[in-house]
Amino acid sequence: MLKIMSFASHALSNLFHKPVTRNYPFVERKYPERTRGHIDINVDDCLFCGICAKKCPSDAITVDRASKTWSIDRMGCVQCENCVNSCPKSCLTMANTYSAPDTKAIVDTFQGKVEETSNAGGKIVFSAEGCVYCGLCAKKCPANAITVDRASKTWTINEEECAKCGACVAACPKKCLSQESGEAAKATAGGEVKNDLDVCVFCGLCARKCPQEAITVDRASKTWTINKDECVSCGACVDGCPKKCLTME
Amino acid sequence: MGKRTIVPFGPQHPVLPEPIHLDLVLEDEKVIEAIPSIGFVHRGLESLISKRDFNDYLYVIERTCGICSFMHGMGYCEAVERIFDVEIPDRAKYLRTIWCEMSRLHSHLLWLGLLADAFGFEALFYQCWRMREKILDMFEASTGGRVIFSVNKVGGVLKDMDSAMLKGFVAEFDSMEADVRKLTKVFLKDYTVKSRLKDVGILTKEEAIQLGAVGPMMRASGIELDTRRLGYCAYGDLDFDIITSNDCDSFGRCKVRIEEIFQSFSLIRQAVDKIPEGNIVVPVKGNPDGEAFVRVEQPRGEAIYYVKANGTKFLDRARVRTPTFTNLSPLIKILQGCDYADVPLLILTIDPCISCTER
Repeated sequence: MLKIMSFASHALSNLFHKPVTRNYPFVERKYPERTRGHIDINVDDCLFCGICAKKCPSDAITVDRASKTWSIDRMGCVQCENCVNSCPKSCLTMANTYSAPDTKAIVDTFQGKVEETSNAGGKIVFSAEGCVYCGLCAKKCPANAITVDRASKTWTINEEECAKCGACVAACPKKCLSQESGEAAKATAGGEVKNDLDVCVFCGLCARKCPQEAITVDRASKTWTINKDECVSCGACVDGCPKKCLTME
Repeated sequence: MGKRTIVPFGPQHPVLPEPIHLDLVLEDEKVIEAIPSIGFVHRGLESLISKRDFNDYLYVIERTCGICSFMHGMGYCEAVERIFDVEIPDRAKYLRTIWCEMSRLHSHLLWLGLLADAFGFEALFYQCWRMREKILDMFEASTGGRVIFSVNKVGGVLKDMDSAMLKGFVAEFDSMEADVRKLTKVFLKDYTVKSRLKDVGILTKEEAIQLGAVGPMMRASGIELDTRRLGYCAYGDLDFDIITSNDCDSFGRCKVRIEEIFQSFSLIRQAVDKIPEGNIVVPVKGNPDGEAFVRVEQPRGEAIYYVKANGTKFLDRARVRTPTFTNLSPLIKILQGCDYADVPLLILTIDPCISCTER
């Protein structure tokens, strides 16, 4: 008899047991913190470098650098978190809730800031050493924030007026102007990376920072090479350079 | 000799969601021969190797299977790590071991449920899956996914488990073990269950060797072989015996898998006790060049990963030999001479994963 009643204890305990299932939809499920639900983007920080689109195994992400848009096909996303892990600016995050279901494919598009000369850049740093007080920076400044007096050898900047666009840095023939790192790369992102080999110490930090492994640095032979096909102009190398010898054009 | 009939079985069958097709040659109610055909869910995952670089391909290969997704990702990573000749941190090895054993637990509980369903014991089926649900919740809490975990990386793992989480898991497993033990008694002791499993689908030791059976299918025929003994991940530091059975029938396969569940509980406990502190990932730079061959013991048996690299970031080849594929020949053998009603049950005893097999 016992041989055929072996399940009876389970059946009885289930009779007096609370239901194992949740009373959905009245009781919603609490997702753990790590649940890979959907991708969120802080589009203001995005450089539109396109690494996420390249890394996406299901080609769900589309990045348009020209119009500064980042879009994701919610139904195509396989929630592998690869884009989040490879974003050089950490502007992508994984939220623990799922995107709402639909009968049609949902494509969410995020629009980045279009204006080039927003306060996106960093503070302009002036080095008196090397300055010839030519006034080119003042001429190029779109906000007329720079005053140069060749007679008294003074260089002043009106911080309130400065748009931190970096035009003065680019115009300086003596490279005595620079822009503070971090935010600087954002204003200049999207171009070609150039290295000032006179300043470069061939430390190799840029090569380590490069998410695409496009940079090769050889300290012994003092060479710095960049694979332009691999470079996605993300600016991670520029941010990582301790000597500020890397610039983006 | 009665009249012979050919009955098509699958690829869509109410008992078996796995898309395998069999032409069953019947003589009355006895199966004389079974002719298999597969290829209904081929997705061409292996050919995607030419489109994705070796780091991103991980997310493709772990989608080979929804049950052993962790082990597919891990086997591939181990193969690429072998080409690079990098040693991953010890903590990462232990974390991989814990997740491997959790995969084995949920796979075997799923299989027990499916087996109960195949012999018509619906209530038992739901009891097994109820247990499995807890393990999926633990997977979600630790990796972020319930089916596809995406925590592996060439050079280690992406997510860590702190000691509070590990202790919580062990406490959960302790309470679960008592429940599973009570539940598995039904499989091992119940008269009706035994009558469906005992002396059904005999595969002798010689046949198992000859036809290349792997995993619990092989161990249930009395062959003492387990790839975990090779000591990949942290298995070299953990203490475990190879579970075998000399029953050689469906009951033996069921018994081996049940005992492996308890072995997994013990392995997780040992791994949590021994897990060292430290990094979980080492940086891997450059592109792989060379080839590597890795064997991993999946819940269904031994899987083989072969990776060939050419010095660029795109690999030449990434090949998986899945356990189900090798277990198909023994399956055809055990189907010969069985009752027609036992066919779904016998297919289940190899724990088939046709999606794995076809990729």
